[in-house]
Amino acid sequence: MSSIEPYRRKYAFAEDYGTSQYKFGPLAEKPDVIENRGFVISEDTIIYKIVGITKRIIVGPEVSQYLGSREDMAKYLIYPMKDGIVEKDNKRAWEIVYEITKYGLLKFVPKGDPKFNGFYVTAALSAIAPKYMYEKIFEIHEKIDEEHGVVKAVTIIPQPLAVAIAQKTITCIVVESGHGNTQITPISRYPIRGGIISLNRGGAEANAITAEILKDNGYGDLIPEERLVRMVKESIGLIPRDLDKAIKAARDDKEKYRAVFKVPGTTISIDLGENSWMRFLIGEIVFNPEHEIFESYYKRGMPRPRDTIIGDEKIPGTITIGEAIARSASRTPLELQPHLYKKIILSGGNFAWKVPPGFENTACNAAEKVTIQLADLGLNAQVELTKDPEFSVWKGAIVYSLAVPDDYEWSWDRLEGWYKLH
Amino acid sequence: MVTREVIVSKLKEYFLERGFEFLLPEELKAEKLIAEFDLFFRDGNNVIAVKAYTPRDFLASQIRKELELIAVDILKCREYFDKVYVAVPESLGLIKIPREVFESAGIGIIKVGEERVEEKLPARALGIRKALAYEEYAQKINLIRSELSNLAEKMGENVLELKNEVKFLRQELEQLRKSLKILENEIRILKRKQTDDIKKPLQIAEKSEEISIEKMEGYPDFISDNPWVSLLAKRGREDEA
Repeated sequence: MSSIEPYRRKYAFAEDYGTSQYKFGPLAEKPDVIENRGFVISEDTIIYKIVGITKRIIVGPEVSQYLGSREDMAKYLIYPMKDGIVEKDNKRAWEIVYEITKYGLLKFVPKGDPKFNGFYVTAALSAIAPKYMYEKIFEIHEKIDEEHGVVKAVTIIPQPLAVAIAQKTITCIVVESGHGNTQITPISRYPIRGGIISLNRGGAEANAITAEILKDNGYGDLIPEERLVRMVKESIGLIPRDLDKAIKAARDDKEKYRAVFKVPGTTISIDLGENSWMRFLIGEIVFNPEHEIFESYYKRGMPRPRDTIIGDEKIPGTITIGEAIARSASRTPLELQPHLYKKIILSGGNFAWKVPPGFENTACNAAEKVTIQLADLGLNAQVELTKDPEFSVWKGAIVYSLAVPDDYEWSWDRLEGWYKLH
Repeated sequence: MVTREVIVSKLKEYFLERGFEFLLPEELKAEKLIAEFDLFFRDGNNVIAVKAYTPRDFLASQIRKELELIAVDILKCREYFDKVYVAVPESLGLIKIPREVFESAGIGIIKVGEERVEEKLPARALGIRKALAYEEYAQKINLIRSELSNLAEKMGENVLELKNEVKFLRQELEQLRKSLKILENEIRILKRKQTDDIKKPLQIAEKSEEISIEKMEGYPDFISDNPWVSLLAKRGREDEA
């Protein structure tokens, strides 16, 4: 009979290191969330001199208080992760990761509990995080523990495994799509690392096409505000069942498909008018950046998703999600593949697309889109969204923290187990 | 007709005026031939020999014959000199000189008079001396090349050996680093364990309160009825099994 000791229940802790957000916390319905970024205070700034700030890097909600001009944002506001990866020799970026991690752990340190001897921390990283990232994350936790005594043991799991755990599915393919990248991981009790496929695209591509659309419609002055672009994307973006048919429908019934977005708390209103058919490009680019309609945007300078090399195979950056899933499954044992197709799980904020009422004939959600793409390849698959796309990674990591036994020690061969600090 | 001594003196003056370097017979490596020629000069890399001729007879046929013999003798020793001249008195008519023989042999003719010295036929580089010298140099160069090649090969072997040693040392160092890290970690755990000993009684008491997965109440939905919980709880034990 398996069991969870009370200490573990109280002090299991999970961390989801996403490209744009850091989600963290002990066992709960959902985690705390802060932006995965830091504001670096230069000693030259007046703020530093007048206020006499002692810390060099600000993280968490406090960051917005330090944002001044757009030039300050560009220079001092740093997002340490790109496509789920922190550059090995980027000292500043790792300092920010350290500060963010410390912020998260110290926020939940129990006060006045003499039994507290540190959290069991499970950190979730990209499926393709290189070994040095594992080493750095362990070092960071070790340092925080030396300074504050808040980490008993730490482990790292790939984000897709965490999703499978949160979805209570032991055999599946997890498609995890965040801001910077999309990872396709077959899982059967363990991640099947040989089948992992990573695509260098995610929500950022949808943001990029949204920015182009805003520029084309006379709202170019708004595009430096990334948060605003993201809000527009989430508000008006749609996934088409079939892009060409959806564009025709939108052109034929302009009023029905008209895209209007009023920025909350401001007088700014965005109206695409006759170009409202462009809202379908926002969803399509996530699943099919190969469509010929995007060629003119690439020629104009919008970045084309980069190819990935896995072993000796080149995966085109613009491959459809459906084809990428099929390629991933083909790298697993033949008799396992039908089981994998029975459960394809889509996770990550990049799959959180809604279908407004009345648009069901032209628009669809992410699961339906992937099902359509796989059916076009002759594959009958069951595709579902995570019940909670935003927090499924964190949830899976919490289960891992709760359940894995204390004596299962870290192994660099398996890339699993507890790295014990005390 | 000018005498032999005058010819030699005028020739010496003539060549020196043209910037040739006068060579003493001892400076040449052709001792046995020194007697055959009257003067030796150097012009750059060329060694030049000059023979003064004064006829014993005035018969044209005799003179021609003597000069032909001189040309043949000169050809026998062409490996020692780059250019050779025969100097004749100005009064000697050209009809008496076998010009075609001298021309084909590459031997130059200089006419010497009381008032002037004139080159009637330029000497051609005989080529043999240089060819022999080049051959000597080429042999010396090949020898040096061979020695350098051997040296380079030896150095290459030494460098490879050093590289292998460095690689081995790096690997050893990396192993040592890893071992040190493991040891540091174990020391840290041991140190903390010492302070944890006091809490042992509490932990034993807590063990009796462990909650079985089957009775997981009060947990969020994503944990209840999750097959991963029991699967993960067996991590490490399935390997042993």
